[in-house]
Amino acid sequence: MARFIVRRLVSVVPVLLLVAVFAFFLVHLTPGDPAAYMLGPLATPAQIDQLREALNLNVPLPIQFERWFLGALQGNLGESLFMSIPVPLAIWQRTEPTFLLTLMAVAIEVLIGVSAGVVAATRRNTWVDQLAIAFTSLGLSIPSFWLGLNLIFFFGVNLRVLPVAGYVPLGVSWIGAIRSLLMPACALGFISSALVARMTRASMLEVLSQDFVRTARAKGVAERGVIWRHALRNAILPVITVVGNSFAILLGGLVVTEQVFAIPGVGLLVIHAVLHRDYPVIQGVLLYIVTLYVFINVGMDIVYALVDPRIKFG
Amino acid sequence: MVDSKVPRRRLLRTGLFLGAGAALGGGWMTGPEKTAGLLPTAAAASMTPVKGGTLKVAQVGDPPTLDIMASTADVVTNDTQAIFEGFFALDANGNAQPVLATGAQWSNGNLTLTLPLRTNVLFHNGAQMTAADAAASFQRWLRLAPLGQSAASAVKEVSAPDSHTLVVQLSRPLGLLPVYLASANAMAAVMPRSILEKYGDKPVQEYIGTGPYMFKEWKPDAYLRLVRWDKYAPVRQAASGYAGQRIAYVDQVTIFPVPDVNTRLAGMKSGEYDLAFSVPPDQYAQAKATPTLRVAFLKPSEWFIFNLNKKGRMFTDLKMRQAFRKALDHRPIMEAAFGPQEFWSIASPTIGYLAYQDDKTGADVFNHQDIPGAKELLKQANYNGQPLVWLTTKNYDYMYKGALVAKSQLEAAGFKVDLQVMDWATLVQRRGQPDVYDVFQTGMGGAPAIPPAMDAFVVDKWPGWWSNPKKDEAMQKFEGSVSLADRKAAWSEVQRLFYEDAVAIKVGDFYDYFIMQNKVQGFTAVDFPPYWNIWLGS
Repeated sequence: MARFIVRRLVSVVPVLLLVAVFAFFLVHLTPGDPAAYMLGPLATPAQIDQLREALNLNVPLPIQFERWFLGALQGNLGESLFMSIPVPLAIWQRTEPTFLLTLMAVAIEVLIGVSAGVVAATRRNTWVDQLAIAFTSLGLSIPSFWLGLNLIFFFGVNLRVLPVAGYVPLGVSWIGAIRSLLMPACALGFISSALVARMTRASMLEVLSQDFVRTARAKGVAERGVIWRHALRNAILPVITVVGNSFAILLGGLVVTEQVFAIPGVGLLVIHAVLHRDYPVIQGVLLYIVTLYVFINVGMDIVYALVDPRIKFG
Repeated sequence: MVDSKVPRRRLLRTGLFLGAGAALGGGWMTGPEKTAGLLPTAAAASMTPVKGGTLKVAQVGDPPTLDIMASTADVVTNDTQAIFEGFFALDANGNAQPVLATGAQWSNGNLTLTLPLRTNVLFHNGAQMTAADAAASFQRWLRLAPLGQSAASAVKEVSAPDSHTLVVQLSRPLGLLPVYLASANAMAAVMPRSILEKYGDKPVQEYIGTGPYMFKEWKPDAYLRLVRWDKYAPVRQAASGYAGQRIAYVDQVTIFPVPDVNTRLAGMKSGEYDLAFSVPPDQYAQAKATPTLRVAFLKPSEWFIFNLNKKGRMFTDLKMRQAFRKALDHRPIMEAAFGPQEFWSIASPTIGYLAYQDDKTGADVFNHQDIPGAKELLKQANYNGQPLVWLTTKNYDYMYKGALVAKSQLEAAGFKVDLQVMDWATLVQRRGQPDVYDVFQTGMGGAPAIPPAMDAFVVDKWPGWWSNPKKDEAMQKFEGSVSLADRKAAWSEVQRLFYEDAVAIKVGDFYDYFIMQNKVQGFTAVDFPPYWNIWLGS
C-alpha cells in the first residue's frame, strides 16, 4: 500500500508542473492590470506605470515566469499584491471557514442523501420512492444561491435565529462558527445530496437483488441488519466516489455560496484575486486546488480498500 | 471622485464595486434635514447625541489598500477617511474649511500659500504632528494622488519654516489648491514622516493618521475594525459636509464586506448592520417598506456619460460626434439604466454641481433627438458603415442597460454598432487604447466642486482625449482664480465648449441613496459618508 501511495504521489508532479505553466500564462495573458485596480479608476498612465515598476510587473513575462517558477519549486509562491502576505498564508487564512463549511455540507449531504436513497430503494415503486425521487430532482434543479437567499430571508430576516452573513472564527466562538455556517452548509448539502440519493438508490437496488442478501434474510438476519450492514456496505462504493468528488469541489472554493453569505473563504479569495488581477494568488490557489483534487483522489482509493476488502492496491 | 464612484455605488456589481437635482447643495445636508420627508416620525425621537456602541457597516467589498492617498477607489475613501485627516475638508457648499491647517493665507500675488498648522494634534502612535510630517505628506500627495499630480506642475517648493507652518510656493496661480487639498478621495492625508520614508510611493501598511477613529484590525474579506482615538482634538466649527467638528460617538466602527446586494439588504432588515452602501434602486421599495429602516438620498450625485474617443477612429470627426448626439433620446436610456424616476433626471445640461450648476449652457443641443438630422450628418461625414465599437460591462448594470438602449437608437439613425461586453478591469484597460474603440460609458460625479478638476473628461490625457486650447485656457482660469465668481464663469465656458465640441454625451443625472437603521443618527449624506458624528439612538 505504501508503494501504491508513493507511486500515486509521484505521478502528481508532472500534473502540477503543467498546471503551474498554464496558471501563470493564463492569468498573465488575461487583460486587466492590478496596478490600475489598486490605484482606482482615476489613475493616470504614468502613475500606473510607476506602481507596475514597484510591483515588478514591468519585467518581461518570461523572466517573471522564471522567477515565479523557481520560487514555486522551492515552495515560495510569492506574495499577494494586495494583502502583502505570502500566498500560502493567504490561502491558509481562508482555509478554516471553507474547510469547516465543506465538512458540514458533506455531513448534511451524506445524511440526507444516503437516508433518502436507502429509503427509496427499500420501498421501491411506492409513494415514498416517488417522493424521494421528486425531492432529489428538486435538489438537482435549484441553484445554490437561490436556496441560500431564501434561507437567509426565512431564518435570518423573518425568524432571526441565524446570522444572515459573515463568519465567526472558531478561535472566537465555535458555536458562533457553526451558527454562521449552518445556512450555507444546508444550502450546499441539500443540493449535493440529490446526486448521492440517486446513486445510493440505484446501487442499493442492484445489491438488494443479489444472492447474498437473500441468504442473509434466509439466515434470519433482521431486515434492518440486512439493509444497513450487508446491502449498504456493498452498495456504498460509487457513493463514496460522489461524496469524495463533492468534497474536493467544495474545498476548492465555494465561489457563489461564499459570496452570498460573505464568508471569507477560499472561494471569495479566488474571486477577488481574479477581479483584482492578483496574479500570485490566482496561481497559488489553482495549484492548491489541483493538489487537493489529487490528494483527495488518493485518499478515496485508500477508503475503497478499507470499505471493500476485495479491492487490492496494484 | 469622478468615475471612481462607479466601483462603489452601482456595484450591485457583484452586487462589486462602488444621482441631478434641482436642490443645489441638498446632497450636502445631513440625513435628518435632507430626508425629512422619508423619516418615520419615531425616528425623530432621540436627537440628543449619545456615546457608545458599535456602528456596523455593510460595505460592497474589501478595499484594495487602506492607504487613503494611494487609491481613488471609493471603498478606500469610505473605509479610511475617519483614520486620516488632511489640511482641509469640504463643507456643505463645497468650500475648503480647516482641519489640520488653521487657515489658508495667500500672499505674493497669490503665488505663496501659507498653511499654519494646529499645534495640538497627535498621531495615533502618540507622536505630535509637525510641519515635517505635513511637508512629507504634501510631497507624496503631489506624486501619488491625481489631484496632487495635477497641482504638482504649479508647485515650486514646499517648505516648513517652523515646526507648525507649511509654505507652498507656486510657479503659477492655483487658487483652487486649498479645495484640492480638501478632497476626501485620494486625500492629502498627513501621516508620520517616518512611515512615509519607510514605504516610499508604495501603499503604506501602517495606518497611522490623526482622525477621530484609529485602525484596529483588518481581516480581508471578513471585517475592518476602527476604534475611537481618545486623544482626538476636533476643530471647533459646527459640522458641515465633511468639515467642522468631528466627534467619535460610537466606540468602534466595524465594516463588513458583503458583496451580495441581497445579503446586504437582508442584513439591514434583520438588524445585523446599521448602515449599508450601494443598494441598487430596484431594492429601494423594499427598504422603504421596512419600518425599522430609513433612507437618505444623495442629490445630486453623478451624471451618466457616453464618452467618445476623439483620438482615433470615427469620432475624430466632429460631424460624426454630432450625429451620435442627435441620434439619442435620453429618457428611455435613463429609464432602462436607473429605473424609477426618483433616481434620475434629464432636466439640466449642467456638467457642474453645487456652486457650478449651469442649466442654460448647452440646453439647445442637450437631449434633442433628431434622426433625419443625424442621418444627414452621417452622409456629410461620408460614414461608410464601419461598426462603432462600444465598450460596456455588466459589472455595472446601468452601464450595460443604458448602452443597450442607445445601441438601438443609433442603429435607427444609420450607425452600425458593435457592443462589446467585458469585465470592468478589461474595459478600463481597453479604453486607454485609442485604436480599438469608439465609445465607453461611465459615471461622473461631483463636478466640478467636489472637488474641482477631477472631471476626467476635461483632462486631455484621460481616455476620450479632449484637446482644445480654449478649454485649456478656461481650465487655467478656473484653477487659478481665488474668486468663486471667476471660477464659476470659467466653468460655464468649459460647459459651452463641452457642447460645442460634442466631447461626450451627458445622458442625465442620477442619484444615490443610503439605507440605515432608524437608530442611526447624525448621518451626513455626502459622496463618502463619514462615520464620525454618527450616534446610535434608541
